[in-house]
Amino acid sequence: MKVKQILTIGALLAIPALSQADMLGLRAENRVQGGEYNARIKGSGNVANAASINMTGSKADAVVNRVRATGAVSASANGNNNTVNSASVQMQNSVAGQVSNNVKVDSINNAVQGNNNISNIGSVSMRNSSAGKVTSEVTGGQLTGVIDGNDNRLNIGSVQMTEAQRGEVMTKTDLGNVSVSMAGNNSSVSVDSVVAN
Amino acid sequence: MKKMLLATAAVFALSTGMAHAERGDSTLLGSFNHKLKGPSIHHNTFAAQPTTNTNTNVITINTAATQTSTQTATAAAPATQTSTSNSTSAAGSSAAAASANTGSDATTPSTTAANTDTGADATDATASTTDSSTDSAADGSDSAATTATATDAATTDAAATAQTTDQNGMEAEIRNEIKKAGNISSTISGGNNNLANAASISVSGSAQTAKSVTNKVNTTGNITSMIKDGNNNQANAASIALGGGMAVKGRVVNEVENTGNISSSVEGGNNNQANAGSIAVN
Repeated sequence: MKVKQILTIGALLAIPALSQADMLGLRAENRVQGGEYNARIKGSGNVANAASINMTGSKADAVVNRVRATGAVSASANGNNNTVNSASVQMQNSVAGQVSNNVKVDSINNAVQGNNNISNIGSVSMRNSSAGKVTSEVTGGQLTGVIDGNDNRLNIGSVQMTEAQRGEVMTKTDLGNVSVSMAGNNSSVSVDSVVAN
Repeated sequence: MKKMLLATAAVFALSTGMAHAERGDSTLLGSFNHKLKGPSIHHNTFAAQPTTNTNTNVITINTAATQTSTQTATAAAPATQTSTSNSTSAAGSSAAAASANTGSDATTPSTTAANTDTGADATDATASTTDSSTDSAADGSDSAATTATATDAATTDAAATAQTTDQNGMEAEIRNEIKKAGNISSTISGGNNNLANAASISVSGSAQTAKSVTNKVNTTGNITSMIKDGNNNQANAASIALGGGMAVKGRVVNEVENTGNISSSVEGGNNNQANAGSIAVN
């Protein structure tokens, strides 16, 4: 056995190993993770919407909100008479034929500090409104709602209807842990509930 | 003997490679179709280099053929687009970054020097469909206090001139698509009645009717819209905001995918609105 022949055989044996990356179809994938939706408000009479649909005094045929993120959706308010929506649908004095809210995120966090605030997480809230069909599908792992103050309302995975005419309301929530923390008086919390006034 | 040995080696080499390709087994044992009997421990011996996001920053804001009231913007160069408006007076201002921002005044003919928006006069049926707005800040209250410094150098606003819409229908399709963008930020500091948009569609003004409104954002970059202090301000990030009792006959669609951080904030003040990945119709 000559050295040349040995080298030739060695080279042939090495071919599969050297070329296996291509032969196996290996692909380097770069998957972007992270990301954060954040809406912050300080003051009074403010509205913070994160991955949400908010209609006030309006009319629309079809409204579709579709959000995909690997991070978190968060909204917070510090003050009085604020509205904070995360992955939610809220309608006030509005008419819509079809409303669709479809959100997939890792976690949703709402924080409210003050009085007379409304905080919605993965919820549908209708006040003096009508809609032919409302669909809200929210997928998240961790939900956290914090309220510190008086006369506040917190909705998680719920449907709130006040003087609302509805055709069809469909909510679907695929959630992990739900955590609620409250401090104050005359506050209302609804989790996976339907409330009609 | 030598030839046989050489041929045998060649056959072995090719068969080994095929086995790798078919089974997806990159281990040496896989070459011999070895079956592991116990739990396997995989060690990645090859390091895949993460793909570098070069942020080619190709941003297109498309207007449909019937588009009558949005701007067409194309940006190719900058990795970061910022549109900053500093308002120190009570006057309002608008800042838009990669956004379609339209507005009109239903009662005031749009012939003011500060605003070239010529459309949507409620008393002029034709004007409402010929909104060849060249402004990125169509708020009728734009003032000298506004120092909008859009650094989106490659962005060119083109008036939508195609007019195929029924003059009486006042139907326009508003469409905003952003793909592979870099970072986009829109900031307003101080003042009142300000508007900051980032990768959003904002339409204000009464007596406007749209056929449909579509905002699609697909980017790995960060989107930030911020307002600091003041009253009656609005900050939109990857959102659709329709105001002034606007009527939409078709669909309002907001799709946000694969993004990095999206933040919309209003710090201080009253009666402000911050939208992130949302639809707000007022």
